[in-house]
Amino acid sequence: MPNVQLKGVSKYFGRIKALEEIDLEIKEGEYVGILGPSGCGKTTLINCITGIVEPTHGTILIDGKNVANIPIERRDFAMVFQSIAIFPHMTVEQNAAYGPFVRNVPKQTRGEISEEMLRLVDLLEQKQLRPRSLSGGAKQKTAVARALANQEKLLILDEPISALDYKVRVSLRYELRRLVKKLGLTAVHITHDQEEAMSISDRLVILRAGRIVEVGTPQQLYEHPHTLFSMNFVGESNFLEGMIKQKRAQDSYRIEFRNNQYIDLQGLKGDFDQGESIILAFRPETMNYCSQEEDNALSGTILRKRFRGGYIRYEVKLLTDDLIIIDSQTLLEEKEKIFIQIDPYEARLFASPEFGLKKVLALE
Amino acid sequence: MALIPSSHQQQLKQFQTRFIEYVSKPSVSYTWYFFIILFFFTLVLFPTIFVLIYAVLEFVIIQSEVLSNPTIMSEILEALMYSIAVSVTITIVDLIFGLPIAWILVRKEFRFKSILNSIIELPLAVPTAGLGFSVALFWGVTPNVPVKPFFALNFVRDALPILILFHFTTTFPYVIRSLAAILDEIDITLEIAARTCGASKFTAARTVTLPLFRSGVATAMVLSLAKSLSDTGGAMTVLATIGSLKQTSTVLIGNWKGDYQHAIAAGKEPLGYLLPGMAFASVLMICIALCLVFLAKILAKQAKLPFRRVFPSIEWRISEGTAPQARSILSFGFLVFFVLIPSFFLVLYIFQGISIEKLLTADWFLFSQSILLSVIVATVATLVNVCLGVPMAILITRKNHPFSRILDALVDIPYVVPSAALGFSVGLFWTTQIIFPPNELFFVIMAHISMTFPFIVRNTIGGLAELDPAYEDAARSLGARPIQAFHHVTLPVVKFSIIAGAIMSFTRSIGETGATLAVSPESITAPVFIVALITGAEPDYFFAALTTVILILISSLLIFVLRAKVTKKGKRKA
Repeated sequence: MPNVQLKGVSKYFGRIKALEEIDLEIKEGEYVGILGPSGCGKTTLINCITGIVEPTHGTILIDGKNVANIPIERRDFAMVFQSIAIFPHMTVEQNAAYGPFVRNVPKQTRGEISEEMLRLVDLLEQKQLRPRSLSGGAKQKTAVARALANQEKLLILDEPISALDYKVRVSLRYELRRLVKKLGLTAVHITHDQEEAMSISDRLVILRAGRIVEVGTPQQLYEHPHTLFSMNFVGESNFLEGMIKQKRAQDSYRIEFRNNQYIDLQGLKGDFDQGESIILAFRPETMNYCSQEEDNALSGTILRKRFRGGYIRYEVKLLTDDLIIIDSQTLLEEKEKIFIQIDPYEARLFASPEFGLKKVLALE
Repeated sequence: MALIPSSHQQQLKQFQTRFIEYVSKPSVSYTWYFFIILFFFTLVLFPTIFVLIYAVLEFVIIQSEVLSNPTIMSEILEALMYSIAVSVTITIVDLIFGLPIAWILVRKEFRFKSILNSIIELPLAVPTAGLGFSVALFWGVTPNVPVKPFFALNFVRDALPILILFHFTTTFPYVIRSLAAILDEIDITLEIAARTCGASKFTAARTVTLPLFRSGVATAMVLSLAKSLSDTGGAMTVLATIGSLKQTSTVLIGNWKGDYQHAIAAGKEPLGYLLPGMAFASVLMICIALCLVFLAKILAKQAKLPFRRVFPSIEWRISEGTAPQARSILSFGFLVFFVLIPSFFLVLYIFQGISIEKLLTADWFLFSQSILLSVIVATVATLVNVCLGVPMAILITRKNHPFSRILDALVDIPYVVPSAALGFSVGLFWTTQIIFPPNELFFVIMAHISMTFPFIVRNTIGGLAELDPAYEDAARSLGARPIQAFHHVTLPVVKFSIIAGAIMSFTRSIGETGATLAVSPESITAPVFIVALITGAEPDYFFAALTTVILILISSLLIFVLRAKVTKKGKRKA
């Protein structure tokens, strides 16, 4: 049964280190999302698993079998490409039947398989068409049908829906997850879209500059990320640079920010000493605020408001000189004064990074 | 520039602005394009097919002198059969070996790839007259050549096989290059996608890449057909070197034109069948060439490829283990043995045959005269073609007019018409017309212009097609006049294609025998000189080889200088 293991996998292109020391295990039946900014090594990682490139170091096991030097076509997986890559000279049906065709499956069985796969992706009516007369979504569905028709248990999806329109993208991603779960497949899904990654994956792997930053379920990564990078990359966040002014108990701190602003927080996770530089991070929808002066609140002014559909986004300039964003359904006005209370159970405390916040959050 | 007084500079600038304004006037640009089209039709295309009109007008003479003369007819038909047999065989052989080698060159990464890529182009610099001698020396039984290099194989005796071997060396590099260029355009992801579906490399290439490659196959077929039907000088020297009396149709025209001219020079009435015979042979060749090219295009588009079934186990075996390695080595060796060694075999001969006595007795005057003439003809023809061919290419790609389509199709005709027929036709046109005073050199240059015109236009079209017209529009939206947009935006990009076209045109012109012979046997260009040395009563093979090598050096030097100049300028701007 498909179980992909990567042990210390590195890939260098000359001096460029595309992947460094990747250790990862993908369990049977799991839908794993691999998320990272462009150029983080996602595609190289997939290319190593599929055999399009050979890793410089490390071993890859599929089903417990070392796949080094096994060519692409002998590794048991199916794949959907970002560039879609369906064969332009074949009809939808011929595309879907290509896997059985090259294995010399009898014509009748071949037809049955492609029929079944096209039914799964709801393309039966268009099976006689050629790719050039299909919509973008239908093209990618054809590619999915072609991949599924190989009847492999491991499905690799390399940014399968990134090139499509927003609406098609959203509907197709749930479709993909539904199919994978229905057929009991193991899926590895690469994307740079964190919203897509969160909504489909059982488990998320965050990649940055060739290294794994963090692995966890979407919820874990959103609510309790262990690194500043994932806090920033998954969802949206505010970051305030400060210092532990006073440590009162294990989880109770007074934190001082710029311009002598400070707040007391109790219930924060993490162990920090007095005098240590820290970064306080919190999501835009997690804080309390009001227009009247309150204790233990950071005050600021609303600079701009943006209507976002279900909520309104406010950009707020704090007295600490920091710029933060707040998402809320309440209507406030620009230039209004506002007082913000941070919820200690939702906020996260990180040690201040050595080379500065910007560098840690940078995507590359 | 600093030395020029500023008032001069100002004047220059003023003149420049006025010039730009002047040429941007619609009336001026229309006149210019009209002139280009006029030039193309009257001086390139019409002379090329003038022989067709001649044949219709003088049909009575052809009827009486040729059609009713069985000896002449059988001579013409036999020569034509040879031409067809050779070119069809060559086209098939080129495809069979060209497809896998082009695939390996494009899709595989190996250590000597860049070297191999440049080696493949080398035989293109060898003038075919010399190439013919070289190939015959390597493969053939050559009773007249006194001393032969040690490695000579010495076993091909007959005309047909040696002609095929010879044409292989002339066409294969072209075929490989064009196949590789087009293959490069096909997305490799498709092949990878096929392999993720379980197809072996061979199956993937066969079922996915090959069907998408029809246009490439058609182009390659046309290339090798046209080139092998056209060649005259090489066929003459190849056949003379092995002492064969057989002739291809181009050789026939060359020989008859020679006889005709000799008779006139000697003040005698030329034999009656010569002129109508040549016209008839030319017409047949033009028709056959057009038919074959048309057929090749249809075949490449319509042919059902072996696509119905897959044999996994066999195809696996071809794709894995030692088989691909063996295949790469084999095709590499194949290239070296069938193309490279035969092409450059005559260099060995020079080292073997060199002696003081030979160098002293050689006709150095005729030698330098012929080389000078070749260089002049090739340079003038290339320059004229660049000036007129580039606007022609712009006309075809950038002006969306139904006329552009027609021009696009017509531009290739001089390329498809076999050069001996082209030369004969052009010669006939110029001796028939009464506007220009007769001048042999001028006629030869005009024939070379007609013959090489498509190279510049095609290459420039290729470069223009790569460039998004939006760039030019962007420049125009910023206030540039069309000519400025062309100068600042288009030219820097297509410059390389133009240079590539110019190099092709120059090398083709400097190596051309058939057209020159058919226009004017009096004009001894270097290839004609080589042919004369080899086919003469007392052949001087050594001197022919030496002339060939010097021609190669001149072409290579020019290519080198042109390329260096282009890259240098590019660097200075950057």
